[in-house]
Amino acid sequence: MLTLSLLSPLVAGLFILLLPAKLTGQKKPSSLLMLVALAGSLISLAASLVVAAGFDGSLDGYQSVEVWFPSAANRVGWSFGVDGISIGLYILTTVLFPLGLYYSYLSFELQASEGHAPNREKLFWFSLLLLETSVIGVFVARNLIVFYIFWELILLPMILLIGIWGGKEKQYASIKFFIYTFAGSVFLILAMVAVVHYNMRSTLSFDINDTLSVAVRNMPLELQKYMFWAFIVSFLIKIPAFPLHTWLPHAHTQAPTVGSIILAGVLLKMGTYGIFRFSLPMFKNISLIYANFFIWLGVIGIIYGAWMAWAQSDIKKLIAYSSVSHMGYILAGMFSGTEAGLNGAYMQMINHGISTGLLFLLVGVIYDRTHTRELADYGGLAKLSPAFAVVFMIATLSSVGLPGTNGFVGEFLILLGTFQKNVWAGIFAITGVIFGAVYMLHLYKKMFFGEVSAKLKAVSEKTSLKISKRELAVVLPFVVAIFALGFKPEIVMDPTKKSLKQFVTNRTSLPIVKFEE
Amino acid sequence: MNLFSINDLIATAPALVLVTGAILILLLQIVLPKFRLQAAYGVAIAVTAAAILLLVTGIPTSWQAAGATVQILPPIGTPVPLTEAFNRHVLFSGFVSEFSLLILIALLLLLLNSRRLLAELDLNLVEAYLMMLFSAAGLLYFIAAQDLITLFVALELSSLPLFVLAGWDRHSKSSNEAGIKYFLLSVLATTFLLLGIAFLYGASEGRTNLNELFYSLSRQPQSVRFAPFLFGILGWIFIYAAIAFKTALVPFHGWVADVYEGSITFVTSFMASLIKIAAVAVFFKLVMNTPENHRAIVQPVLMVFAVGSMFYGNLTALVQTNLKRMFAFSSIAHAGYMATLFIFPVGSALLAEIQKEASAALFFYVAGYAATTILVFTVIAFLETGDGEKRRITLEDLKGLGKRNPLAAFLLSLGALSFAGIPPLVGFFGKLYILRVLLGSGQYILALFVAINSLLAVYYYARIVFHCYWDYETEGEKLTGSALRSPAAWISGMALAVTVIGLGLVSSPVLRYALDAMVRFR
Repeated sequence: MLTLSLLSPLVAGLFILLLPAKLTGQKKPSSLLMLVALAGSLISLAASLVVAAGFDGSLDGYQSVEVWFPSAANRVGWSFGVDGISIGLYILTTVLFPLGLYYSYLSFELQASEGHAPNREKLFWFSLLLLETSVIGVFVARNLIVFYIFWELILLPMILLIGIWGGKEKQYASIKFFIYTFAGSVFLILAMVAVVHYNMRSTLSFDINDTLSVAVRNMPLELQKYMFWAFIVSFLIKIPAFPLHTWLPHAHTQAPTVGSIILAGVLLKMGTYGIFRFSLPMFKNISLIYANFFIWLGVIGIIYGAWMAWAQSDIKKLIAYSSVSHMGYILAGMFSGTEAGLNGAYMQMINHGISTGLLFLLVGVIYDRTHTRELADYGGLAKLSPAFAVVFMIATLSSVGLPGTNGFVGEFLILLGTFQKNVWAGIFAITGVIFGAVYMLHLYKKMFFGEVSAKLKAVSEKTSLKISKRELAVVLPFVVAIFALGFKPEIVMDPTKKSLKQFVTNRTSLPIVKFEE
Repeated sequence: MNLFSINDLIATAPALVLVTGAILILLLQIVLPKFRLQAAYGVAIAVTAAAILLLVTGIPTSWQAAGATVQILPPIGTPVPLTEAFNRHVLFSGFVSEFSLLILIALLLLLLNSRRLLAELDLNLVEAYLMMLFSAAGLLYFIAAQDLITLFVALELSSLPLFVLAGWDRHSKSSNEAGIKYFLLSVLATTFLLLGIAFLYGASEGRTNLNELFYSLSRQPQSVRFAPFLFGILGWIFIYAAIAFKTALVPFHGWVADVYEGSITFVTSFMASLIKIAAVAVFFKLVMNTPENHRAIVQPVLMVFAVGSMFYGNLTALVQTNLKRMFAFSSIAHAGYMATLFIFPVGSALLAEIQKEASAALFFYVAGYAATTILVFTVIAFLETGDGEKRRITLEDLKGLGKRNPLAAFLLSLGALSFAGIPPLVGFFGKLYILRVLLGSGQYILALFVAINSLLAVYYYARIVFHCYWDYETEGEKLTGSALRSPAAWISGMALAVTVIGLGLVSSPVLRYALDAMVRFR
């Protein structure tokens, strides 16, 4: 089943490339291509749901393991599996992609109705499907090299998506994204090889398992530190954590809407997933040494991201900086080493994918009609498009973390965990919640309330600003997920709880009463 | 001591087949003057294929040596005792047959393209095939040479035809310049080689056989006050310099850019692939035959070669706009990556293990490198000749190539991405195995340099891909190129593309195979 869900998008993508060229180049986007792409993506979703149904959260280690070419598996073993850490992100990926795919088709259609013929459709669908395969590959890989292969493979469709279908500065954004991520991954592969081949005679394979942690523990502490940094820098770039975040606003603003959804929804999670998968289990001692440093890095990210978001005049950039802020929570929660913090961080990973993915989707919906992302051009949208305003409100509240939405559970648990580990960091992190509400509500107020702006008036005379039924159908699953996870977070937390327990280093920070013996 | 026997001929059969083919081409010119071009092309391909076949299947003839039966030309991949020929002037080991096979396959792929490419330039002369066959035969002897004198002669046999080939386009100034430049600088390198041989001859009380040299020199006290030891050091440095010239390593890289750019692209790909394969193989063999006491002193020189080449090649390639020059500098950088495998920690208990792993990694890297190089230069050659006249291709010309000539754009991007080390292409696995050896033997700084350089390099490789696929609508000077029109060229192009993708996917069996074959070197 894993293989099916991994390969079906790729096969659909290749099939699309082979279809006759006359399907494209017309004024309207080809629905046949979209159907093929959607089929590949939906098969993947169905297969992933089968895997999820058979998943047992009470077990340790990998489940539904699949190995390709078992005889050659000695060095680069193509083996796949899911465990508590990957299952949630895996499902998030397979759910997000079909929605993004279908939305892109709607967006193409809308542009076609305005006379803009879709640009290189076949390559577009292929890039998206290749992207899906590689993201799934990252989350289900059970081998360091396979993980790395998919990790790098993501760059290719991403630079195509940003570079071809992006905004005005697409090439700059694309190159920046490419160089940043590649820089991180070069050191990642260096560290991976170094850990496995620390001793020439070692018989370790590249499979991800407990022996890797043992291998690391046998290294001299100084070397361990270098390895730790080589690993984590590439994850910090991907997250992106505070000083390494500068590629994100550009990539987000220039990417096409579906690119932003996927980028915010799952690509950023690859960084935090990497920390869960490698940094924390393999470098237990080192990550304990640096725990406070990373918590503070997370807190700086929270506050810095929030302030930057407040100062933006470009809606997409604002949401991009809100991502920096939200990912800061996850970083802080992960390194708190408390059960609450870890579970909250995992919850927040899923939440951020849903709420920020939805925000980018909605911005895309309105951008397709108005062709502006300037906040100043908006105002009074609630009067023109009430349904849209409601959905945007739900996304905003989820992003702010209102109780009852999914955002609350994650943020609350993270703050709780951070407090237990480091009180001062907790206090500063809490201010982030306030700032978060400030910039999101500021955005909402500017966009939806007040007088209808001149720009919107002009646009609404030509086209309807109302969200269409089909777009609403794409949005609906997000809304359902926001409330479902808000009221019943166990859906995400139960399967992962067991796997996250191994990272708990700090049971509680309450003063422990020592009994004299 | 008899001069030579039939056994010697059998042992060197693949090289002899090539030489026979070359002579046959000369004869056919007289016998079939009308069809001499077709005949030359056919013969060249046939003998190359025959040589590959001979190398793979071997010749089932055995002779008795010290009680054991030794097969003279064993099938490839069988771990057999070493075969010696011509009074131990030539020695065949797993290492040698692996690299010979690589050279022959590269030659075959090049030959498949040759007819079309040379015809497009109106340079399709019979002598081209002759030169290539002689040069390749020389390279086979070069790799197998166990005696420094044979090494020298084989080097000359492989180089002399290349001087002619480099200046093949005699109406073009740059081609003439390339020919002369390559000739003059090669002569200088040859002088170095001879000087080095002379020093080693003196240092080892009159020995030129690598094996004897090793045992003689390794007994010397490690002190530069001891004159023979000093001579030995100088000898190694001179010989390394000569081979570094052929490998295109800094600081002996001066000829690379001009010769690669000036020669017709077909010849460039010959130089960048075949010569490089042979040169790194011989370099590795020489390093393996340098005794530990000498290596401890000489190693910094190798370090300079490797690190200098990586940085110089990549930093210079970053600012190039001419595609061929860019790949010329990138080939220097790749030579640098490979040269890191010539460096082993001194006094390591795991030396034998490290060297074995290093040889397998080198084999894998150079195989991937050669495939990618031929692929890239073939595409460039077809792009150049598309408009009927030879032209220089710059990065700007590539804009929108993805629309005008999708196949060429795809193949070129594939090559660039493989060079950059993007998984799952073969270039990535080559680098991975180099890192494996370096990190496994504790050479962390070198590994870091390799990593930093891959990062530097990715920018200029990625630019090629960007230019091909972005800027679709860019007008201007339109470069389309011929789309690999001849069937033979198409086969070769597809074979290379499949290799670049496929060798990465099956990298571990290939590496294991290479490791098994390289049981012994000396």
